[in-house]
Amino acid sequence: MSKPTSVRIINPKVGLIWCGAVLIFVIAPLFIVLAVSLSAAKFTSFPWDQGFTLDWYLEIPLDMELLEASWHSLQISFGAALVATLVGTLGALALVRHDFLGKGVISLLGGSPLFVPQVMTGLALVIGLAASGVASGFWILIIGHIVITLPYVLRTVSSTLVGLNLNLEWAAMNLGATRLQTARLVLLPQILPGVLSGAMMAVIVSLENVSLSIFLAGPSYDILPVWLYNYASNQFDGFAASVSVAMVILSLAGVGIVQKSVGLERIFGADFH
Amino acid sequence: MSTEVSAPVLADSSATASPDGQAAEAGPRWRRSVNNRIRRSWSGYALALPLVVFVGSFFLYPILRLAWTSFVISDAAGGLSFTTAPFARVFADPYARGTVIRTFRVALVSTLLTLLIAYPLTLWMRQISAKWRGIVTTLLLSPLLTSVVVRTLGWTAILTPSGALDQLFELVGLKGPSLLYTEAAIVIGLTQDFIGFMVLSLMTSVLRIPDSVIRAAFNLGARPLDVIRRIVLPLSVPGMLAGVSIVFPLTAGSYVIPALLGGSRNSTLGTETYNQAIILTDFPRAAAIALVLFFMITVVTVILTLVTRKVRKVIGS
Repeated sequence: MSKPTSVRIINPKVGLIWCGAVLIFVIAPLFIVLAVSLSAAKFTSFPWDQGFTLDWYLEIPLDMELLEASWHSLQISFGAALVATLVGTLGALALVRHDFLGKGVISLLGGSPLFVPQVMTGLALVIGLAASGVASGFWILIIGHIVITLPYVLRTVSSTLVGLNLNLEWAAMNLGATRLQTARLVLLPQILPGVLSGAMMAVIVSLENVSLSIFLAGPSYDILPVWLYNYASNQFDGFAASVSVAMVILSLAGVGIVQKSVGLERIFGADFH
Repeated sequence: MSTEVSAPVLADSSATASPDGQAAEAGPRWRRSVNNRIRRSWSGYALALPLVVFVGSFFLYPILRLAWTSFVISDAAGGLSFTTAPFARVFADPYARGTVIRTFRVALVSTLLTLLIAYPLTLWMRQISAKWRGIVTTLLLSPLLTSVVVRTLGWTAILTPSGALDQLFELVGLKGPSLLYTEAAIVIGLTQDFIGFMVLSLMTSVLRIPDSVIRAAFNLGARPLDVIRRIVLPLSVPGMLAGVSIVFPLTAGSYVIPALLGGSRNSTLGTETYNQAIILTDFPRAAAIALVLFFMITVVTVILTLVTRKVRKVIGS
């Protein structure tokens, strides 16, 4: 029953080698970080003739600054994801299911944070909100993270909504369900996987963000990626590497969930309207 | 009155039965008339309101304030006047001018490199099964879900003097290039970061090329290279343009990669925005630099959009 594959243009062997080389280029740096995190050497040198150790990992729970920044990161990321998911899901419902004057403009506005470099968004938030004392610390960070994660939620939920079978909702309404009942009992269960994936995507985007956060975080309120960036720009040692690996392992768990329910290519894909 | 508002229908979703969204509005006439009535309802606005308010006050307003900061000066008497002085300063200063040119060069080279690397890969991915295509795509995108700092730190260890790359050179008796803190290091980091995006963009175009066209060319005696050059390549130009218009803005606007791999001597508009704003707290100058970056990205994007429109007209898709 399998569909015949497409006509060959590229020599399969050459293609396979090319693909392997690209994957090594893309993924190898991550394994280097893993190797550095396990190296007993004080500085990153090659080869690792000084043996392997887990000592760097054991230092993680002892660094109070790091732990505090991680706790802040969790608060910011999950808080931002929650708000972005609520606002973004309602927005996606409006943009996919309704037609109204100015819809195009609103759609553009919702996606616009993706089209402005994050350093500019960060600077704008500093000038527009932080410098005038409107928000600082926790609040300015969470606002910034909601802004940059909203487009991802909009995209994910929209793509779920577009593929939805409307007959179920028509049937529910025909049988006398109210609008709210239909939304809660028929619509919500159908879009829930998409909504959760959008939320997970928002958490991941927020947890790894540096370009925007570096403008908004400071010594008084630091978050994990900024802490790691600042640490690593001074020295790259096994400690920075072990924190990185810990972060990767945590985000891989999230990736698994997203990939299962929506698929990465639908989130990163260019077909956003 | 309330029933017409409550019907959860929409024209758009019933119309997207086909993946490329080509299908016209389908369904019986009565359903369409219901749809038309819903269009005039206010529920769309109500649902979009939080989005508009949030993005408006926490994104659009700050961005406008940023532009205001660099375009408007207030004098001692409280009067306001328009100025382009911050921009003039950026372009008068050879260091800042160098930063603008370097940003463009680095973004352009890494964008073209992602295209060169991704294109043959995408052609190969076209002819493997959908399952394997999914696996390769996932592997390509998986690094994107780690922090950009993590990805970049790997390159630091590889490119640093007597790092992995230099040792590889020494293995064959050559002197290593010690690429860390050069423009080349920035390009390598950016290229690695954005290959996945390029593959995704190219894929939409390449997968759409019908097999029958390629098979016909082969049947008529064309060699594989001719097929690529005269059929596949022209038909995938829209995908290339889409990929470039996604990757170029991201490379030009990046911060972490140029900061960690380029060092202080190879500043880009991204790192310069941060330095001016946070280290030197010169907001008008930082805003001017950010706006130069934004204009660079916008001009490139507009040009690409115009070219894409023209190409699509020629190809007819």
